[in-house]
Amino acid sequence: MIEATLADVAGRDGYIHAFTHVTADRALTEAAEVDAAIAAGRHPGPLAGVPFAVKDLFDIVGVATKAGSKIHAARLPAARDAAAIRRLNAAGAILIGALNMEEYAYGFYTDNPHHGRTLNPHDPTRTAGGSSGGSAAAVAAGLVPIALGSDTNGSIRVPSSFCGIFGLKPTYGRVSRTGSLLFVSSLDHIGPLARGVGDLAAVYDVLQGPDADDAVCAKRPPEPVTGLLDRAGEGLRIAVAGGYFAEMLSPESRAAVDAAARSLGVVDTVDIPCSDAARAAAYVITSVEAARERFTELRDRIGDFGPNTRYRFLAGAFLPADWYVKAQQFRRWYSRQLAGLFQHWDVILAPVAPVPAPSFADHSAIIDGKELALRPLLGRFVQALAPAGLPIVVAPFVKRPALPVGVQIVAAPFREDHAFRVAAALENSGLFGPQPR
Amino acid sequence: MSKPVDWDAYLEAMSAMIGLTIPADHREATIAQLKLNAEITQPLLAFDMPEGTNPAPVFKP
Repeated sequence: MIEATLADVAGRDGYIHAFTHVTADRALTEAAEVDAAIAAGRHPGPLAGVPFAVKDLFDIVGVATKAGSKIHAARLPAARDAAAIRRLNAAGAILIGALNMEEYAYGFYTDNPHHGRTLNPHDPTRTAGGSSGGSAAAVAAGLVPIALGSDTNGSIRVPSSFCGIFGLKPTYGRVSRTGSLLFVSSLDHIGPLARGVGDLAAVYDVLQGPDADDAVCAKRPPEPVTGLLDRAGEGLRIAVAGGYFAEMLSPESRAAVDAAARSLGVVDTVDIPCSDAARAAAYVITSVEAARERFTELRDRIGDFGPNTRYRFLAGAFLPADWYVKAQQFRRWYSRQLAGLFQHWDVILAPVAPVPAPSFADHSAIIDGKELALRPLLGRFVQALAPAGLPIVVAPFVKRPALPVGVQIVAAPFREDHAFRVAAALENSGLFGPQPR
Repeated sequence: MSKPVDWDAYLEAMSAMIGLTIPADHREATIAQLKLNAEITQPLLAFDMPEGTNPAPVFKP
């Protein structure tokens, strides 16, 4: 099976360019170990023999962690696997390689100036989304059934939407980030992408658990969700986000939210307060912390940054401390407002992106008769939720032959189970799920 | 912001303070990005923060 996966990657990845490195020898060794465990009568783990790949910001022993950059590509190979890879390996999953991404995870296109452009498997003239574009494209194309990505301001959610697959941003602190290159520690999450809710849940269950090496990782035991999927949306109080989340929305994105609401019998809407300020807070936190993380590279190697990230990193180093602390205060206030909403609702539905995957050639979109610049538009709904650190599953609405569009299924902190159950209900409806390969 | 900002002077002073020199050929684009950041941040700056709101990060020794 792993030989077939490696052959498939070798034969088809050239069309979409999802991979930046293939760990063929390692994969074959790991497969042999799983076979040996089975032959010896040992349980090989819940993910035995399942191939997976990771965004190129997870450390892979013996491989330089490029993080989409020219600068880090020249660094020494990692001495140890990231914690998430170790957990998946311990469950029997087999690492196939590293996946393309935006430079240092900063952007929604995965049109990388150093490592190439990842194409959307549904239409190669369009972006796969970002920054975990390689992760989403590899899963959507069926090169691997599961992948890992990271999400700071939407970097799992946007590519999952554009490529028509399921994705999870867990609660902030639920899953260890040890061994992944930080972008914005206050907002960074890691999480899985998959073609089905069951696979997404199986990977999430393996990834959970405390880790003293990650300062923000919660000291909570794993709370598995796989056994809860059969309950689907039964008894859950669900509303659709209105106001800010119902504005600047293309007909395709609106149709996805409407289809989810109809399928679940949802009639109520709820206003999430001050979402424009929430987006601004996420923007400030991102700008300042990203610049601090890369300060040495900005000082010594500014010419080696790509044109789309260079000035965002540079400007972030000069923002006033007052803005940053206010953004962190706002985050506290905003989380409390959302906690109040979750007293009344278990799940809130919201769009992922205002539009389906745009073409690389397009720089604007027309929505409600207005021409809007695409790059700032794409993060509108995902970035506004970023400061709250909530668990969010993306479910892909596929109305053939149109492009896929995802819906955010948002739950209260550490209630991933609620988001997963609603995702399962949508998958069961037959309206949500990936297109056949 | 009530008064116009002299971004060139701001960048010059801050560069010296944080030890990050902006090469001449990157200066104009960096100032343009700073102006954009200020515009994007307006909804946050306009938000009336309730007194005593703790910043989100909590340090536990």
